[in-house]
Amino acid sequence: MKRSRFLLIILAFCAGFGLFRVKYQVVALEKNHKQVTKSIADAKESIHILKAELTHLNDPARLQKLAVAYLDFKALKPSQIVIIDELPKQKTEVKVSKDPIEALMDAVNAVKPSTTKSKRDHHAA
Amino acid sequence: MQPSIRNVWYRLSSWRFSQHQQLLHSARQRILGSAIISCIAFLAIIARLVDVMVIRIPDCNTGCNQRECQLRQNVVDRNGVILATQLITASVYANPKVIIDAKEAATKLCKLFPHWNYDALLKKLQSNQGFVWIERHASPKIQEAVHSLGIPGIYLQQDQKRAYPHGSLASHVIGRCDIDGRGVSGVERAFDTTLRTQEGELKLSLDIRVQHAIHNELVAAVKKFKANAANAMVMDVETGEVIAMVSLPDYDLNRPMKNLKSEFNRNTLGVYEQGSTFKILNVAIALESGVATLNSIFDNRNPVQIGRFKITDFRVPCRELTLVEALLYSSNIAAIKIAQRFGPQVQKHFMEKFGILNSPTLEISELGNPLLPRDWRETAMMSVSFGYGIAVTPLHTLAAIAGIVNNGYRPIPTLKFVTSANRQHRINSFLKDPCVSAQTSKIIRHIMRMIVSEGTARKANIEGYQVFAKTGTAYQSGKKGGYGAESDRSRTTSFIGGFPANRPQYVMIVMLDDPKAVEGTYGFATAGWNVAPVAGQIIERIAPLLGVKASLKEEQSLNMDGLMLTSLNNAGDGDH
Repeated sequence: MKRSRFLLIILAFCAGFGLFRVKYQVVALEKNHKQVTKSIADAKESIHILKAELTHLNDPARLQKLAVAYLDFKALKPSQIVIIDELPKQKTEVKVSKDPIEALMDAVNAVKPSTTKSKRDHHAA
Repeated sequence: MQPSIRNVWYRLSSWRFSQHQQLLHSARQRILGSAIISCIAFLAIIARLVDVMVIRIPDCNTGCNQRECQLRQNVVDRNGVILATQLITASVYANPKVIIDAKEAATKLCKLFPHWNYDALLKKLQSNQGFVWIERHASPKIQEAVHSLGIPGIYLQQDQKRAYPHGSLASHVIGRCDIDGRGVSGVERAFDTTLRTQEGELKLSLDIRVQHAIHNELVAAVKKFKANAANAMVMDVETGEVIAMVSLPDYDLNRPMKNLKSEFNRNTLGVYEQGSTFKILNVAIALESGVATLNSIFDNRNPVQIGRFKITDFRVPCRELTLVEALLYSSNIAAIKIAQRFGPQVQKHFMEKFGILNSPTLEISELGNPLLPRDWRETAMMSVSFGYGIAVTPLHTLAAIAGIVNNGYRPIPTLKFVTSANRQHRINSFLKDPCVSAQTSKIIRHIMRMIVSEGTARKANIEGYQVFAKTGTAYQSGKKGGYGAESDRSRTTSFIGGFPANRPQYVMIVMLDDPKAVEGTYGFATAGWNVAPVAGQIIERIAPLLGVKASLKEEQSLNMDGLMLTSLNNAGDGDH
């Protein structure tokens, strides 16, 4: 009987201490939560103001003035824009007769790789 | 003796017992009463807990605190660019009952707010009231200065201010709020409740880039042609979304009180005799009612008399004209002759179909009612045929023309953004009662294209976009009625059209109020010389922004199969 009472008292103390700890933890967390909520609200407000400021800076009239002053760009004329689908399709392959010098160059290029290869083989040996 | 004592004792005991029973009974009653009261109290507490923790929980989940929830929502354009936003500011107020030295406070505050008169401020600070405003929406610098002054009885209160980052751009559409943040005009008024109570920004159909391009061109045009005012609109021909709406003069929304006279929206509130642009409606009615074909001939050799007015033409060949030529040369006489074929009743019926007879439909409240002829008979019909004797808003004309060129399906103009998911549904809702047939629509588009390629609107012929249009020059009626002497007459020049002609995507109207003949216009002040080139420049700037593909495949794509268009130089089949 005495032992159980003692245990009960110990348990009551533990529970009390636990409750005390939890209570202070909750108070601290609540304080933290309040601070975080406030900082979120402040950040949102700042974002809101910055967005308004950005829009003000991106005002087309202002951008146009700056573009005229600092850029050398001009608006594209419709004639400069071509839609790929509207380009005429190539119907036949273009055959161009080779000139004699080009034919000679082709012949040289055709021979060259085999000579270099044989030289390399020789060095390797 | 003994039995009597026993009897008394017995009676006393039973009396005590009954007393005891009574006490027990009343105690039980009281316990029951207090238990019921406690139960009710607990039930009330439980109900309140359920209310707070279960029913009202979505409020907490949205993550917006009270301060944010109270903010009026943003207004944005179709691309999400902010047009109107709410800023948290602070306002300075005083509690005169707390102020110790009113004179010292007035001196210090006058230095901070130079617009305040010392005596007036002192009077305010010495009043018996407990609250007086000193300055609404003070800047952060001023707020800091007020803090530093540390005058007892002068305080700062959190406040809100509506800010418009684009100033005067789209001022007539957006509208303004009063000092307490209630919408008083434009979209701010039309969607006041939505902006105040609902979450999420309000997305408009406007495109601020297009709005700026038009504003920029109109300002230059007003300056160049010394015009009194100007206005223009661009509308999506299928959905009726208003992409841009500019009315000059305009006013800075951040300082609205400075120029309240400029609050008049010429596009939706002003009613004007539209002049020659109405001839499109006239020809559409003729074709639709079957009284004329493209080859019909109309004699314009002799002027027509309407009451005291003699109707003549301006630079129109004095001969018989085909229907196409009548529109191409913009002949007033031919317009009358065309109208005489279908008569006033048919004209009125079609005008109703075009939406001309009723107040225009748009979300904003600044809408003008049309001024219609009192007695719609022969005389009225004749003047209406070439755009006189009837005054409507430019929005009326634009919506009517949109209907005619969009295969007869007249869209209802809107300032709200139509999402791609809702687009088809909205388009389908207009497909019920076409005002003209697809064939008539095609013919009108083709004639309007001819007006741009070889008629009065040549200066608006932007290569690649297949612009179609009709110009109009209308004399303004004086305050006492009539149009004054020829030399004193003021004009309104207008351009109504769209692009591209093969499959119209956008329609637009541009108007100049009393433009003058300037260098380069060879003494002319008619629409072809002033408003047409302005419209051309506008189209050149906005068409790429709107994603309209430039195609140099010109008229081939118009596909006018089966349409017998009369050559300009040939007379028709003698159908008089």
